[in-house]
Amino acid sequence: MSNFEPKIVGFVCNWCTYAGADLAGVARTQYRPNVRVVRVPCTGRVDPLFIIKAFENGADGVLVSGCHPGDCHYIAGNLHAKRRWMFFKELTDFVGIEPERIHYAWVSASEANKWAKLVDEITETIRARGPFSKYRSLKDPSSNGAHDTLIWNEAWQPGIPEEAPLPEEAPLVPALREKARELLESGDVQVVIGYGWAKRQRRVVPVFITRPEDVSRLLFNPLCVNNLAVYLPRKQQDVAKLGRPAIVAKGCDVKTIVVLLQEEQIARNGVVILGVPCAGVIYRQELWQGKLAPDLLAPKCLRCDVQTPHLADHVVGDLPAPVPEPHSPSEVQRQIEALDQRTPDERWNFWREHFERCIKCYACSQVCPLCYCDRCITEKNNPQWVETSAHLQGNLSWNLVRAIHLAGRCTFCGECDRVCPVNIPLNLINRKLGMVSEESFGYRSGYDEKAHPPMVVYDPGDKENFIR
Amino acid sequence: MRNLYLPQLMTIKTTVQETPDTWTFELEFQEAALRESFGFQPGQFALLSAFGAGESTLTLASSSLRRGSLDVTFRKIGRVTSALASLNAGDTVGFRGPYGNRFPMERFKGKNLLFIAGGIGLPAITSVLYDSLETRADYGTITILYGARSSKDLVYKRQIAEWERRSDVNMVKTVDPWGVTEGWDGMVGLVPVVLEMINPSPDNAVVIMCGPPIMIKFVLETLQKLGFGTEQIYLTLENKMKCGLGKCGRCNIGDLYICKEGPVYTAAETRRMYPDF
Amino acid sequence: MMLLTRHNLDQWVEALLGAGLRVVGTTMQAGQPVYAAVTRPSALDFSQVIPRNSLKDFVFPQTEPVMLYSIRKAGIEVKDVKADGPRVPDTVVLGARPCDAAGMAALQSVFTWQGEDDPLFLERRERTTVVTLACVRGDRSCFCTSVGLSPDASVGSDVLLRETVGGNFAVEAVTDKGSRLLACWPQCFEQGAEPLRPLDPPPVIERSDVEKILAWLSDPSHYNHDVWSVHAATCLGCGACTYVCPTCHCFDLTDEGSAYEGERRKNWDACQFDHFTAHAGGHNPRPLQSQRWRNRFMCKFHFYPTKFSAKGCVGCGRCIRVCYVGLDIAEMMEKVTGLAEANPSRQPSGLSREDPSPLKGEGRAGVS
Repeated sequence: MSNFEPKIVGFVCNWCTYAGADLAGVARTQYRPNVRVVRVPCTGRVDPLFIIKAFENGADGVLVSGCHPGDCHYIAGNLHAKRRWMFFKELTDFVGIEPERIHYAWVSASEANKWAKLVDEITETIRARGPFSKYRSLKDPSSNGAHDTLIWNEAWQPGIPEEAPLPEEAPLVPALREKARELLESGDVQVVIGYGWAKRQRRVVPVFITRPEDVSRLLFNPLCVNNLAVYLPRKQQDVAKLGRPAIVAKGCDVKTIVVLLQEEQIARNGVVILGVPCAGVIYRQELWQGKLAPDLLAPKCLRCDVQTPHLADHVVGDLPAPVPEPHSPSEVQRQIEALDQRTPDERWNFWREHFERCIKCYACSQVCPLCYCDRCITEKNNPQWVETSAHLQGNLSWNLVRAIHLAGRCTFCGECDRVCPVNIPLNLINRKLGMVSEESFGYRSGYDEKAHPPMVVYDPGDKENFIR
Repeated sequence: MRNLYLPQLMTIKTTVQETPDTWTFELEFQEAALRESFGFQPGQFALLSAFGAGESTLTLASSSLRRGSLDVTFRKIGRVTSALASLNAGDTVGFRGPYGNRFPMERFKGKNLLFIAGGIGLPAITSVLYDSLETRADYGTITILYGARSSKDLVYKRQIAEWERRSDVNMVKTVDPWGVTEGWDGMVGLVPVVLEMINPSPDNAVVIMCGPPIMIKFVLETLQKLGFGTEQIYLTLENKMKCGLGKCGRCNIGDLYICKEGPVYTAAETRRMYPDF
Repeated sequence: MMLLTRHNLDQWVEALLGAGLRVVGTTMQAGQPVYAAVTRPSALDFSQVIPRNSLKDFVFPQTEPVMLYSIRKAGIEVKDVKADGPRVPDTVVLGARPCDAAGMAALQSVFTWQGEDDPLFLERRERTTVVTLACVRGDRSCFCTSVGLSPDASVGSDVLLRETVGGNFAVEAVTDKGSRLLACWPQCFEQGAEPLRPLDPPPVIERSDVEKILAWLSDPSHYNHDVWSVHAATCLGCGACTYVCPTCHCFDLTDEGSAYEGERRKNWDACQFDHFTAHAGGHNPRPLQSQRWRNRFMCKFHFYPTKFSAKGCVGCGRCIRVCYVGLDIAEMMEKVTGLAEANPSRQPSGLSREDPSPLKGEGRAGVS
C-alpha cells in the first residue's frame, strides 16, 4: 500500500486554477505529481459525467477547481458549477462514493501555494484511502449477491385481483366526461388524454379519446396512478399528430406539467388541463382490495398539498373524502434516512446489489415526462458517453446521469420506481435530490411555472461547506 | 465453431481523400493465405471495424476479380466512419464479410448496361462496373450517369476521367445546377433530368443504380416514362446494420433482412416490399 | 411411468450440484419469482405461475463480450472470447415453463438461421438441459393456448415433468439429451403409477387465430392500417416488453474500452427504442412509436413463422404483465383477427396511400 500512487484527474479552469498551477511550476514549487490536469475553459463546463468517466477510466480521485465566486472569466460559470456540485456531491455521497474521492476547490491564478498544498493534501488523503478498486470492480462478472428486502411487496400480475371488487367511480366522472365531450365536439381539442379501463387485464390504463362518442371510456378512481403528462412533450409524435390535447391531470401530474411549461416543452395554450381533485391513488393496482387503505398509497400521495390541482383550465368536481395517512413517516423517507446513517461502503453495497439487476431497458426514462430529450445522452455514440452494456459500470453511470439530469426538476411522481421491471428503488435517489433542492435552495419543483429551476439559475449566497 | 463476430485484420495500403468527407481505402489482409484466397461477388458488403469505435457496413467497391487487395469508399458521417477517416496507411482495421446477395452478372451478359449513381452511391455499384470492364466484350453499351451536388463532391474523380477517355464507355457526369464551379466541363442538372436528356433505350438494357432516396424516387419515375420495366432495374439498398448475419433484427424492411436477403433487389421487388423505409 | 418423488427431487438437486453442475430453478428472490441459480434444494419454489425473467437470460445474456482487442504501437491484436475454454458451466434448468422452453426453441432457430451459427449462443444452449414442469394453472395474462402451445407442451424441452396428485412428478424424456441426463442419476428415479394433477389451461382468446393474423400481416397493403396508430399510440417505447420476452432477440454490437484495450459487446436491444433504426445520416425509417410497435407485432406473428419457422410468441404474457400503460398483445391479436375476418381476400383493406394517416411518415423509396 505504501507504494500506491494515486491517479487523480483534475478538471481545472483555464483562467484561474490552471494559471495558478502554472505559477506553481514557474516558481519551482515542489508538490506531488499525482494530478493529471485536464484544462477546461470554466468549471461551468465540467459535466458530472466527466467525473464519472474519470472513475471509469481508472482514476482513484477527482479534483475540480476553478475561479473564486465573483472572479469567473465568464461572470457566473463557477456559480452555476457550484450549484451543480452541491447536487452532485449529495448524489455521489448517497451512492456510496467516499467523499474523500472527489474534491472541489477555488484556486485563483495567484494562489500557487494553495494549489500545491491542495494537491499534496488530496494525494495523501486518497493514498490513505487506497485504490478505488470497488469502482473498477464494477466491470468484473457480477456475483450472486443477496438482495435486500424491497419496499413494496407486489405481485407479478398487474391489475386488480380476480376477487377484488371494481373500484367505485369518483362522483366527478360524469362532469369529466361531459367536459371532454364539449371540448371534442367544439373542436377545441382533438384528443383527450385520460384514464380508461382495460377489461381483460382488470386495470386502469391511459387512453386517448379522439371521438366525442367515446368519452364514456374515461374514468377516474383511486387506481389512476399513471402520470399522463408523459404524453405531452414534443417527442411524442403519435400524440402530436392527433392535434391539440386535453389532459386529465391530478395535482401531482399538474406539477409535472408546470415543469414542462417552465422548460417550454409545451405552450400554455397548447394544452387544456382538466384538473381532477384527488385524495390519493394506489401505488400498485394489484394490491387493491376494495378501498384505498393508507398503507397502499403511492409515495407521492403522502403529505400531498395539491389535492386540488393548482393550475388547470377546468377543475372538475370536488375533493373526495380524505384518506388517512399512515402514522409512520413515509417509507421512502425512512429508507433515505436509514441509508444516510450508514457508511459509504454500506451504501455502495446497497446500490450495487440493486444496480446489478438493471437491465438497461430505459423504462424509467421512457415513462418520465421530464426525460424528453429527442436524443438522450445514452443514445449519443460519438463519443459514447454512457456505456450501454448492462454491466454494473454502465448501470451505475446511467442511473447517476439520469438522477443528476433530473435534479431540481423531478416532481417525484414515482413512475420510474413503479415501472422498473426489476424493482430498483429509484424513488430513493430522486427523492433524495428533491430534498437537496428543498433544503439547499428552498425550491420545490412543480408549483410555480414562472420560477426558475435551481440548476438554471445561481445565487451568490448559496451556502456550502465542502468547497475549499 | 468459428466465432462469427471475430473480425479478420486488414492493413490499409493506401488512402485517397475523394471529397471533403469521403475517403477510399485500399485494404489487404494481414494473413497471407487470405490475401490469396479471399473473393467476393459484386454487390456484397462487409462490416469494417475501427477498433474502439465499432463497425460500419461498407460495400466492397473494387472489382471482384482483383486478387490481393480490395477497396472501400465511405463518407465520414458517424462514430465509426469518423474513426476510420482518421486512420492512415499502415493502420489496421477489422473486416467481417463478405455478406449479402449479389448482382446477377450472368443476367447482364450481352445487355446494354446503364449505371446511374448519385453522390456516395457510386461506390456501391462500381464492383459491377469494374467486372464488366474486365470482360468488356461480354456486354453491350456501357453508360455511366453519375451526379453529385458539386464538382468537389464527385467521388472517383480520377476514374471518371479514365472512363471519359475510353471510347467503349459513355461517361456522363453532372452536378446540381447550384453546384456549378468554374471550369466544370460536364452536364448541369439533377440526375433524373439528365437521364431524360440522354434518353437511353430500354431495349436489351439493364439499369444498375444507387443513390439518395430522393434521387431514386425520381429516377424510377423517369425510367418508367422512358419505357423501362421494373425487372430491368437493379438497386442496392441500405439500412442500418449491426451483425450482418440476420440475427440482430435491425436491418429489416418489413419481412426482408437486407443483410441476408439483400442488399441487391430489382425495382419490381422493392415495389412489393413493405413500406418500411 | 417414471416417477420422481419430492424427496428424490431434493436428492437429485444435491447430486447435480455435487457434480459441479449449475442448477437454475424457479425460486423467489426479494419476493419475486425468478429463474436463478440455486445452491440448495430448499430454494426451489414451483408454486408461482411464472418467473419474471425468461430463460433467455441463460443462453443469450443481456450483455456479453464477443471479442477482445488491444491496440499497441506494434499493431492491433484481436482475441476470441472462446479462446480460454468454456465460459459457462453445464446447466440444468429445473422447472422451466413450457412457454419458456418453446422460447428457447425459437431463439435456436434465429441464432442458426441460414447456416450462420452463433457459437456464443450455441455453446450456452448445448450446455443447458431443460427440464420443464407442466403448468397446473395460469393466470389471466397467460395465453399459450392461443398460439398453438399448451401447459404441457414439450417443444424446446429435454425432459418434461408433470405433477402428480401425491405431490410427486411424472418424468418423461423428450430428447436424447434428456434421456442421457436421467440416465446419470438412476437412483433418483423410480417406476410407479400415480394419477396426474389435472392441468387448467388458460382459455383460448376468443376471436384470435394466428393463421388469419399471419395472412393479414403478409399483405403489404395492410402495413399502414390505422389499427397501429389507434391501438398502440399509448406505447412509450420503454422496451420492457422486449427484455422480458422469451423470443425477442435483437441486439447491438458496440466497442467499449480505453485507448489501448477493449472489448466488443453484444447487448440486448429493442426495436421499440426510438433510435433503433436511425441512420447516422439522420433518416429514421420508423420515426413513430406506433410504427415500432407494429414491427414488434409483425416480427412475432409473421417474420418468425415465415423466416425462422418458429413461434415468435409463446403466450407467456410477460409483456402484458410488465407494460405499465396496459398494452395487451392478446388484444391486438383479437383486433387483427377481426380485421382479417372482415376482409378475407387479399385486397387492400386499409387506407389508400393518399389518406392522411398519422403513419405516413416520409413514405418514399428510401434506397441509397
